[in-house]
Amino acid sequence: MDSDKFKQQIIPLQSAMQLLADRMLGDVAEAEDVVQDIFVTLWNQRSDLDKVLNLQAYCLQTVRLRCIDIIRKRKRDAFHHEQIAYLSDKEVEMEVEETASHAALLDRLLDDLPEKQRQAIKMKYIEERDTQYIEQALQMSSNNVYTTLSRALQSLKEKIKTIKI
Amino acid sequence: MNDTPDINKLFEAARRREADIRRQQQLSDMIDRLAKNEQKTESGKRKAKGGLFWTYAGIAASVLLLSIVGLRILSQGSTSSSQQQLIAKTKPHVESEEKSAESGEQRMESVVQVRRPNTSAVLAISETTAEVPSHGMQQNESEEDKTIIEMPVVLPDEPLLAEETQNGEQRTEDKDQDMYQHESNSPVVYERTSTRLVCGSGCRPEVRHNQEDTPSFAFTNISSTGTTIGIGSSGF
Repeated sequence: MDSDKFKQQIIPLQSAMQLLADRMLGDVAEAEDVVQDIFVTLWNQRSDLDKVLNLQAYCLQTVRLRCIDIIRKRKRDAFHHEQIAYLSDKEVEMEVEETASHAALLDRLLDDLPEKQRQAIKMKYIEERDTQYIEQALQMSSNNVYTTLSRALQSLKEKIKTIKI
Repeated sequence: MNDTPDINKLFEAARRREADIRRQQQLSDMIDRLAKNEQKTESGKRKAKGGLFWTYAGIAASVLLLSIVGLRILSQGSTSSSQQQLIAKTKPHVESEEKSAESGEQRMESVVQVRRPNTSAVLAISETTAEVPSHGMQQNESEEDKTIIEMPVVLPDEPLLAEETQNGEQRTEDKDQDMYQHESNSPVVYERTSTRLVCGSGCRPEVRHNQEDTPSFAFTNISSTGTTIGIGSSGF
């Protein structure tokens, strides 16, 4: 499996892998590290990946086992006693699909907003930028940014009420 | 499912998606780097293999060269040993030459038994060696060229008595003759039982009788080219 094929077939599985790791570990940063390590491992084993029939199941199981190892280590350290949030492949897949559909819905809702409001919402709630950054990026005053964001949120909430998933 | 989505859920999903896109991009870059590193490693390995190949080739060539040189040295050594053998073969030749040169001083070895006439009792045995002067023996004469000639010696038919001078005085110079003189009244016979002429090559001995009818030997030293290079003689 060359790098193009790897990118095409394995990298899109990152969302599900990240979600599963997030849920199992409860730590986004740690989940990112786990997923990245697993990708390095998968890259090193890419010659064997052609034999794998279900790549998504294989990758998710790898994440699951790695997370279980981490959780067991935590338990040995006696700092964490939480239950393992075990998700099946189907649950992970459903959650990934839900996330994707929600993100797509938001895209549609944002598309109906004016340009300034859409950019302000993206920067504030998706990119999680601070107000000063938005002021500089949109060349708006602080008050204008607050006003724009407030109006955009109100518009979105109204539109969401009309949408039934 | 008729559920109105929470706006925060939508934002959360959008954030997750954006984060996933960012992470996937990072992973894609990481894969590119890994692929590049692998290519570098592969090329490095290939270069290393190539270098290793040339290293081995160099070592093999060096070993081959050393082997050839060693064989040459050994062959030279064997040549030198063969030369030594040749020298060893030649040395006896030289020694023989030396011996021949020594034997150029031809000598007459004779054994004389002194006994009473008509008896086998030997009173005394005298072994004498007469050196024959040599003149300019050829240096390249070999041992094989040395000739030892044993020949019968012509002796006077009459038994020689213990020699008396014409004045009737007995000689007392010779110790052997002293022994003879001890029984002066009894006749004794001295008999030369063997005479050996030892001379080098080119020595052509011939037996002559001198005026006293005493056998003597004349030697003509002849070089390998046939040239007469010296004349010697010996008599008794």
